[in-house]
Amino acid sequence: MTRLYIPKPALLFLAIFAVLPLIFTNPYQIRILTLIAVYTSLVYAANIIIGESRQLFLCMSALAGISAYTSSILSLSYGLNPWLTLPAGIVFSVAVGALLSYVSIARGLGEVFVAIVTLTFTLIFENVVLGLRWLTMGETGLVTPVLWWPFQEIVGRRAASYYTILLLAFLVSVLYANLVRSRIGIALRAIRSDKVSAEVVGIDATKYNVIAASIGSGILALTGSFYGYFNGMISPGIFSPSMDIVIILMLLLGGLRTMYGPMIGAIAIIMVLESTRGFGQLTLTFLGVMLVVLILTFREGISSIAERAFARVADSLKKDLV
Amino acid sequence: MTADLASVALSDLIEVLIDGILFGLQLSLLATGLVLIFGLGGILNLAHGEFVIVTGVVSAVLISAGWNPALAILAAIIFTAFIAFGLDRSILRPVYKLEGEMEVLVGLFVTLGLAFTLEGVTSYLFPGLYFSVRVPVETVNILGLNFRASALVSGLISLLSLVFLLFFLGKTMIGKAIRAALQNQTGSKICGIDVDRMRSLVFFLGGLMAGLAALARGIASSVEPGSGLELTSYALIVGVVGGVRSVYGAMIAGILLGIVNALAGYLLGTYLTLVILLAIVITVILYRPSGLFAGGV
Repeated sequence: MTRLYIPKPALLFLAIFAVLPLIFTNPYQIRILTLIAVYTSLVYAANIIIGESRQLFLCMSALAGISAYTSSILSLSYGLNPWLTLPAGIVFSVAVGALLSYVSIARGLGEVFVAIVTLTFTLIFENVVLGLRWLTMGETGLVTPVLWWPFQEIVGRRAASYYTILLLAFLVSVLYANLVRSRIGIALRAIRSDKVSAEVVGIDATKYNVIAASIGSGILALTGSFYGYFNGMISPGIFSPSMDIVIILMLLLGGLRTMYGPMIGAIAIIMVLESTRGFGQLTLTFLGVMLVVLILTFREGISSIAERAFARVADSLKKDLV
Repeated sequence: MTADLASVALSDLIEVLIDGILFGLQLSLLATGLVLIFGLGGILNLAHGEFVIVTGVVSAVLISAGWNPALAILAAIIFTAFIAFGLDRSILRPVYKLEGEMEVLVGLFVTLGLAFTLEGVTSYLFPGLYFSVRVPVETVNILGLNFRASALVSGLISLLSLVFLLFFLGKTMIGKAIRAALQNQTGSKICGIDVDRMRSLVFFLGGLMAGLAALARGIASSVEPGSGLELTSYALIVGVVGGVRSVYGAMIAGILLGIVNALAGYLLGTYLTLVILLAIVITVILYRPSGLFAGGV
């Protein structure tokens, strides 16, 4: 059993974001901080599914939404405490994510077909939610039951929800750091670099890809549910394909398969989105243009470019010393 | 009495079937553009639905500026074809330099980004705008069955466009060159076919088909900003079911899915129909990844 590895910048992230609400106290600013934490967590999930196991899931919004809807609907229908129904939502999403992953591997679908299947799945999810109006309230959205956030009596609901989600984002980043170093992470790396050789030495590619998809789906599910309870309302508009685009943008901007990319990407894109909020529908245009530019020029992301620059500086320093 | 009831149900069914075929022709037209571009460009154009919207928006704007409607629509269709052409000549250039799966993936994201860009611009600049062409006659009675005139005209335009495309690909020299390039790029290069130019031409054709699809849809119902992703997903559904590289496959699949759509809508209600169509796509991808009518171009 290896020791738990806690990356220092993740601690730094936690520390800084824990202090920020003391400076930015108004509800709108705390909402932005919460959104950053939500998306950081979602992007780590994407980093596991799309980055580590190279399964192009375009149904991350749907996986988050399935869990949020399941938990809320169960709580509302049976009058249960939302904390009791959270696991049901997570189990449902993980089952769906694992099934999508298993089926696409078993049928030998290429990345593009995985993308089409999962995008189609997202559209099915959207239409089912719209159609089951008596259960989901359709397009208008479902008012979620009230979730008790830890310490909300002391710090107030808004801050309590923020700190809970921030802690989740931190734990997810720690999970990612340890996953990459674990047996699973090493197996995934081997499969990525040469699937056939990996299988020859006895690595079960199907198993590890399904595991990665399940872990990712679990993170998406829990984060999605928390996001719904924080928001007070869930609708197909929140868990729409544009959520997938936002997540992928953050992942690409921050850097695919990097430890700190998700944090950097989430912070940067949320800031951009919030500052362009006044432009209404043009926000979509900003997202679109950013996606095109990023994918064409900048596929490795800020974080790895920064790392390389840092390494170059370190190298030249070493040379100078020698 | 029972015989009466049966005949009513039968004429209903025939009407639904023909409605389905007419809508299916629209779907075929929508999908051929997508399939053509994927076949030669290797780009799964997720902005295809937005091309339809662009045609609709430009037509509506020109018509409200006082243009002759026919002229305005023609101009809008050609404009859309040039946008598709320009797409091939500009931001997709770097994509073609990539290899295999990577090319398709990056192309997918670039066109997705483009789709969002166009959707944002059109719905920001023209909120509430819609493009719709009125047909002077309401209903047409053929052999005792009633049809909406608009659906018939729209189906006819789709059919003519498809026939034009088939003629162009099948009979003209350039069409044959395009088909050769679709089948085997290296081989056609050796035979002296300029694959790059054929690809630009295919984008132009794809844009043209999207424009014509906008006209067909505008006659049958309406085209408005914000529905681009829905149109793209229709095209994708048909393309995937027909075999994503096969133009003929897309045409047959379009008609087939149109019938499924009409029947499901008639029997189960509208909201379930899209879910059924999407479920068909997933099933086809899983069991016949190359499509139901793969093979041939």
